[in-house]
Amino acid sequence: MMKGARWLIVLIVVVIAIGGLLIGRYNTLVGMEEKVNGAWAQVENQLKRRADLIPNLVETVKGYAAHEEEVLTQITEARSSFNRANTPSEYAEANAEFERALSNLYVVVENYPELKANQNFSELQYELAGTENRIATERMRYNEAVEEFNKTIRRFPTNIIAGIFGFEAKQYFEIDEQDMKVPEVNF
Amino acid sequence: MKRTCILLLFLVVVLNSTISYAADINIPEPSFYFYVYDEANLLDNEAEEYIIKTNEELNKKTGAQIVVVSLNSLDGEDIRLVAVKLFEKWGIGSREYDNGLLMLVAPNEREIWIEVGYGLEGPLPDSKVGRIIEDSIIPYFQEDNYQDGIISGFNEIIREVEEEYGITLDRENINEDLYYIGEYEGYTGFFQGIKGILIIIGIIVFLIIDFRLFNGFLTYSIFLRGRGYGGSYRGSSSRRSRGGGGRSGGGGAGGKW
Repeated sequence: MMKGARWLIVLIVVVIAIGGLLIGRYNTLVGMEEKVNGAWAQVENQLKRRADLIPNLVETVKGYAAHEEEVLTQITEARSSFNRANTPSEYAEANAEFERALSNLYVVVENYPELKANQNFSELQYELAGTENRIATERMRYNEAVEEFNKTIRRFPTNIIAGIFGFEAKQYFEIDEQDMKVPEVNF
Repeated sequence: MKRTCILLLFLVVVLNSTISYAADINIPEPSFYFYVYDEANLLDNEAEEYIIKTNEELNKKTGAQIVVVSLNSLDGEDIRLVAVKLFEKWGIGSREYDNGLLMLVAPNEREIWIEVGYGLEGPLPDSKVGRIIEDSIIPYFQEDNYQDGIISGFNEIIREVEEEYGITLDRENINEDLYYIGEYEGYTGFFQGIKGILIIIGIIVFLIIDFRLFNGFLTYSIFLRGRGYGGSYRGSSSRRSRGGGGRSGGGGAGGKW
C-alpha cells in the first residue's frame, strides 16, 4: 500500500512536469511565431514605403528625361509586381525586379547632369538609399526570426508539439546574391 | 526512484535546451560615458566633453541619445550593417520612443553612416541626414579635419532634435569655442602648448620606467587590449551612462570622402 502510494505520487509529479513543460513550449512557439509575423510586417512596411516613392521618382525623371521610356516602364512595372505580391518569395522577386530597374535608371541618369543636380532628385536618391537599407535590415531581422522559429519546430521534442498544434516552417525572404547588390549612389 | 529522478532531469534538460545563435560580427562594448566611443582618436577631450555634456542634458529632458562612434576598422563589413548591429547592441535612445541616433565614422575606410532610430525618423528623414552629411560633415572630412566635421554634424542634428522637442540645450555655456566652429581653429593658447609638452614627457618617462622595471608589460598590455576601450576622455563628470534600449531599422544616410 505504502509503495503504491509513492509510485502514484511520482506518476502525478511526472505528468505535471511534462504537462507544464508542454504548455511552456507551446507558448514559446506562439511567441516566436508572433515575432516572425511582426518582423514580416516590418519588411512589408518598408517595401511599401519604397513602392510609394516610385511615382514621385518617375515624375521627377520624366521632367528631364521623358524619352527614356524603357527605364520608366520597367520601374512602373516593378511597382505593380509589388502590389500583386503576396508571399515572401513573390515579394523578394518584385524587390529584385525593382532593384534591376533602379540600377538601369542610375546608368541613364548619368547622361542628364541637370537631373542629377535637381534638388528633388537628390533627396529622392537619399530616400531610396535609406529605404533600401531599411529593407535590408528588416529582411535580416525577419530571416533571423524565421531561422530561430524553423529550427525550434524541427527540434525534438518541440517538433511533436509543433506537429500536434500545426505549426509550420516559415518562408525566408530570399534574394539572389547578384540582385542583393544595392545600386551605388555617388555624388 | 533514483531512475525516475534521472529521467525527470533528462526530460527537463531536453525540453529546455536553448537555441544556439550564429556568431556575429565584432561589435565593441560601449564606453564608460556611452555617448562617445572614439577608437580612431578623432576627438580631443574638449570635444568629447561637449558631446557627453550635451547628451546628458538632452537625455534628461527627452530620453534621446546622440552617440558618436569612430572605429579603426570595419573588418571588411558593410558600414551600414555595423551601424545597425551596434545600434541594436547598445540600445541607443529610450526604449519607449526609440529616439536614438548613431554617427559612425570609419576614417580608414573613409566612410560615414548616420543611423537614425525609429523615433527620430520624423525630424530627421534620410534626405535631411544626407544633406547634413554632404554639407556639414564631408567638407571638413575632406581636409582630414575630423573633429570639426563631427562637431558640426552633431550640432546640426542637435538643432533638428531641439526643434522636434521644442527645447533648447544650453550648449553655449558648456563650451563656446566648440559651438562656434569657425573661430575655434586658431585658438591654441600658451598653456595648451605646455600641456602637450608635459604629456609627451610623461609618456616618455612612463615608457622608460615600464621597459626598465616591467619589461614593457604595461605598454604591451595597453596596446594588446585593442578593441574595448574607446574613450580617452576622463572629465569632471563621473556619471556612467547607458543605452535606453532604443531601436533602429536601417534608416539614415551615409557618405564617402
